[in-house]
Amino acid sequence: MDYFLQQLINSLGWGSLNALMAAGYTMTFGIIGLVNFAHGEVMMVGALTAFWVMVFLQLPFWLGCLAALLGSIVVGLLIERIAFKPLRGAGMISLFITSLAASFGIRTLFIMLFTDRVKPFPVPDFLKGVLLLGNLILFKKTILIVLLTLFFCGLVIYFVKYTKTGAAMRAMSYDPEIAGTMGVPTERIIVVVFAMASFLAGLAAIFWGIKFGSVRCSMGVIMVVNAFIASVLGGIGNVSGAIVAGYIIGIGETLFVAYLPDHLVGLRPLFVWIVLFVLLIFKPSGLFRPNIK
Amino acid sequence: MSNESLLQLDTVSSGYGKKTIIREVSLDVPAGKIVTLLGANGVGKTTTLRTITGQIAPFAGRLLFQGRDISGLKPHSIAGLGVGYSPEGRRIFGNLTAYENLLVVANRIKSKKIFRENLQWVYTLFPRLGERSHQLSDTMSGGEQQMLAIGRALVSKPMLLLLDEPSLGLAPMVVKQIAETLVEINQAGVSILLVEQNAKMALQISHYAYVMDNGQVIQHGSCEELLQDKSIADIYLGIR
Ligand SMILES: Nc1ncnc2c1ncn2[C@@H]1O[C@H](COP(=O)(O)OP(=O)(O)OP(=O)(O)O)[C@@H](O)[C@H]1O
Ligand SMILES: [Mg+2]
Repeated sequence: MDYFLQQLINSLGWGSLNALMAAGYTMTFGIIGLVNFAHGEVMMVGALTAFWVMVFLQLPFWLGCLAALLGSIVVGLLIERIAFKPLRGAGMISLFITSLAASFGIRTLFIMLFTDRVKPFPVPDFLKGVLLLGNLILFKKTILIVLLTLFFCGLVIYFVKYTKTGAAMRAMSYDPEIAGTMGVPTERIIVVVFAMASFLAGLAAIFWGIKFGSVRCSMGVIMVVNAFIASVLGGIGNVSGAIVAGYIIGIGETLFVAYLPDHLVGLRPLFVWIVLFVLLIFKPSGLFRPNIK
Repeated sequence: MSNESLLQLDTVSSGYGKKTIIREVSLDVPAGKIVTLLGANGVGKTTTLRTITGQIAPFAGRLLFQGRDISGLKPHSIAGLGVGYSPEGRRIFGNLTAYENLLVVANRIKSKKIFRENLQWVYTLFPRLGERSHQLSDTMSGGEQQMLAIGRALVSKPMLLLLDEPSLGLAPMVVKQIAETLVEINQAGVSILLVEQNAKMALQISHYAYVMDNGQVIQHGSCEELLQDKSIADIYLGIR
């Protein structure tokens, strides 16, 4: 029992990362029908920016965090501008191909320039150490990651559910053409959505760094697969659904590995594919109501 | 028509891709009036409205709203000038509640206060929408959805209301109710361009009418004039 609880607690950090990535992923998926492979690279560039600021420039941790958020937002908006905007209305397949190209291009470029070796991500002392809860161990960093994730996810859910911009976002996911004729500045809303999604990816980058103590150029690959599957599981375009699904996948994956025999832990990535497989058979529209037609 | 015109189409041609659907259409919506555009299936009525809203750009001709050329403007800019639009087939946002459908339009309204006032006005016109404001719009009845589509077009208090077949698929009682509400809306100062298959209802409430065939305006006049023109009434309006 203790082993299970301990694994559950450990999984919350990874669950948070998945939730943040899935929330952003599903927003862009909903609004322009985009299967955005490059979302993982948006996170990676944020993480690398923080690494440069903290390790090369020797600047403090909080500046590194700020740099991660800015780095992710800038690269997210640039990808939108260069790769997706010219293809507005071109359909899902074209977007699928360009996002694959953007993802692959950015990752390859970064690996060429900086190699794929792990890079240290300095974590300040106040985040080190543990709290003891009976027999259970709580990492301070995990507590921070979970609390901040819930806080920012709460903000995003509130924004999407209760503001007029949020209503416009959901309307655009459903029928972008008519949303325009209702006076919604559709291009501006798309920029807002990409900025928000990239901000969440930047947060995920920081939390990845804090959780693992290092970052690398290929880190986006696993994340984006999980985010994609979580956004399908949560109902495409449904932000709260994606957050719940992100936690389900993150927690499920950790427990899956925890109960695998040691020589099989390499099967870790299999978990999300099993989830997707089961989902497509029993409930292809996801656990929650999608925000698209 | 001596009145000042709110919307003017001057020999407008437009269509999809390279294919011309409407040819040299000229029509005029005077401020404060209800104007109807009639015609059989597939003659280009919806295409005309989609050109006015900016969903498709005209190939030639000029579209003037309050004397200003609006051709080439983005749909949201045209809406922002004071054009409300209730599309064919309603096209409400089925993933949103009735209230949220109206909230989407708040994106082009200056202040929260004005939005709330307009919202009250819409709820007064269509009390059903107020009662059902938190219902998922996808689950509303056809009549309720049509009211929502019109309410959504009105919640910005537009100067011009474009309606594409608001009576489609509705029971006669509901059609009558909607027709009465349209007159009320018009009396509140909103000019209306109405596209209808239901010529009888349309001619009852309109001041002026245009008849389209094969992408062109073939006849126009006051409703009485059109009804007296036997060939028009027979062939195009399906009423005697
Ligand atoms: N998206 C489109 N692409 C190509 N052709 C189209 C498109 N939409 C409509 N058309 C064609 O344009 C012509 C006019 O269509 P439109 O929808 O304007 O007719 P309508 O007068 O509104 O008819 P109805 O009363 O049936 O609604 C039709 O021949 C139609 O097939
Ligand atoms: Mg039509």
